[in-house]
Amino acid sequence: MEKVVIIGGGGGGAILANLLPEREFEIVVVDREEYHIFQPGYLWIAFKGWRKEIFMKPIRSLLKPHVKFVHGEATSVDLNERKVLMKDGKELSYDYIVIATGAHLNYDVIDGNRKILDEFGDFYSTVENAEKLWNAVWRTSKGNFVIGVADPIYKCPPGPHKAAFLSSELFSRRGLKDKVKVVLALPFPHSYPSKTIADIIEPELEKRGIEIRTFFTVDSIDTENKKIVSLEGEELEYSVATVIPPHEGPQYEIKPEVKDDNNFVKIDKYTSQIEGFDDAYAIGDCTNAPTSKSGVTAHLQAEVVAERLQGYDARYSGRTNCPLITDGKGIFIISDYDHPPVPVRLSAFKRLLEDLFLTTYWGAIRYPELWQPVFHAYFNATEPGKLVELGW
Amino acid sequence: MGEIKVDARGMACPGPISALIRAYRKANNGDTIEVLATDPGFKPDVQAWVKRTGNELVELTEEGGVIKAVIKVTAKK
Amino acid sequence: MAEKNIGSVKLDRILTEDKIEALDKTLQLLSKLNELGILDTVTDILEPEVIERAASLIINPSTLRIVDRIDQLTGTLGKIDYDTLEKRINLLNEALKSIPEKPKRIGLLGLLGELRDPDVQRGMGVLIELLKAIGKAAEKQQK
Repeated sequence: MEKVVIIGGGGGGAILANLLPEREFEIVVVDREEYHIFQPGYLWIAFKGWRKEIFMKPIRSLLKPHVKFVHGEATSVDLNERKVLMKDGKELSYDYIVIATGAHLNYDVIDGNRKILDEFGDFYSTVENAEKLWNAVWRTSKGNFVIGVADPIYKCPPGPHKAAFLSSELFSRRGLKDKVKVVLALPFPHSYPSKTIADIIEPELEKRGIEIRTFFTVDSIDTENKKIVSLEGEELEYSVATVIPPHEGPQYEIKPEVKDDNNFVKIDKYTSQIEGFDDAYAIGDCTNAPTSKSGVTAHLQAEVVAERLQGYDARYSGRTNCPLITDGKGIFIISDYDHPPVPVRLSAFKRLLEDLFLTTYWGAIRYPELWQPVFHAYFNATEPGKLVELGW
Repeated sequence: MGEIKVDARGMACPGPISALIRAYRKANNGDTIEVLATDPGFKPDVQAWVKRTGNELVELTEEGGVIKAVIKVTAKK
Repeated sequence: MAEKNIGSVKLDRILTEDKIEALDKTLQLLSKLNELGILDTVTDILEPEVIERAASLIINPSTLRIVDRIDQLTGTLGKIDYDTLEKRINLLNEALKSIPEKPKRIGLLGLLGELRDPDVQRGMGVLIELLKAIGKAAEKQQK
């Protein structure tokens, strides 16, 4: 039996652990946290006031019984010696390693970013910060609620947009539509990195009175005067603000040097193999894969690695399926390595799918073999190549 | 001065413009950024971007489905 | 020994009278389903291969396109005058059947010739009524 060590029990690591056959592998999942968080839930906590418990489950409960769970922190990975060093001094040796520790959000790059995080919370880091943001938003009755982005590579590209729609709905329901302005400040030339998608959602943003500031890359935050300054030299005032910080790869040491200059692990974008190694893989937000950092990516990469570890030649197409929801309708941003995003129609049905996904999430992690056929049918039916002709 | 190369060929959403903006954050005046992309949307995007940010578009060519843009960084404060 | 006691204390708290009745009925239902073999069927259906087949039948580009427009679809289908449709469905079937694979080209002279045929004349009668109705409806839509 070969030993697979998976560092990270999140959306990528947990699914991978549950996909590997018990008879063939000894599977160990390492995570410094006890709980697995359904991260899109941060939006529901921050803007709908939902309880955080809905979106958290102990990692141990999500892993099949035969999978070992080590609740601890990895401090160093030696890809040549095939060893993982833990904070408590223990060593884990492996036959195969999969790095799935996600992205590290660095709040100390942008001046004032940590300060506003402490003051207002956010919807990108922890359930506690999401709860904080709910309170901050609820306390606001005038001025600008600014959602800003410090770097164009961040997980869940439609995240800020969903926050804009949900917060706008909240202010509306409180009768504050004319008193509080939701401002969406983005580094891109359009209201979405892809113009195709921007053309679809821009009318929806404008309809709701959400202000869109393009070419706005947050560079510093003046918390005294409550102003956000952009790299492009512009300023935005705020009453409440949340800025998505620059993302980086794993902070722990990996020997030899396999990270790029943003610390993301360099992989083959199709096979998820770490460059230069045939027994080391990386999946999810921690890699340099040229596609959206999202749960779908981690999930599909997990499937590819599970297949490859069993000797099959599986490849990841780069497929994205990011949900962008307004209050009543939704779209999916569907693209892959060979196709930029295809035009997709805003519909109530897609919005429903998003809610249904939430209900299937935990089951899909615990029993991926049962849900795989359903997801496969969906991904096959909605391949970007097919959608360009058919539309959806 | 520094030469930054960004290979954004075969990049899914969020696409080459994101890779360019990220490279720009770390660049200094005098550096050149060369971006390779296969997304046709990149051509108008990079033109709009240099116009708005005040940087210099030295070269913008397309060959065999690959768009090459060379930007000289001049507008950083 | 202590664990067992804690377990039975928890059960005691949960199993109120109304819950016991519900539990009893549920077990009766499960027993019936088991007798009928339905529980075995459901268990067998929950196999990855069966799910895969069912999934590709239910989830494909055609169904997704229809389901995505379910609100439009039901709205539009609701507007159809079903009484009329029921009466005219045979006529519609015949009309669709009559469309040839490779239609002949008929010019003005050919048309005048065909107009001597009583069937064509009757068809013309239908067409004229159809044209009148469409013309009226088009004018209405413009307003």
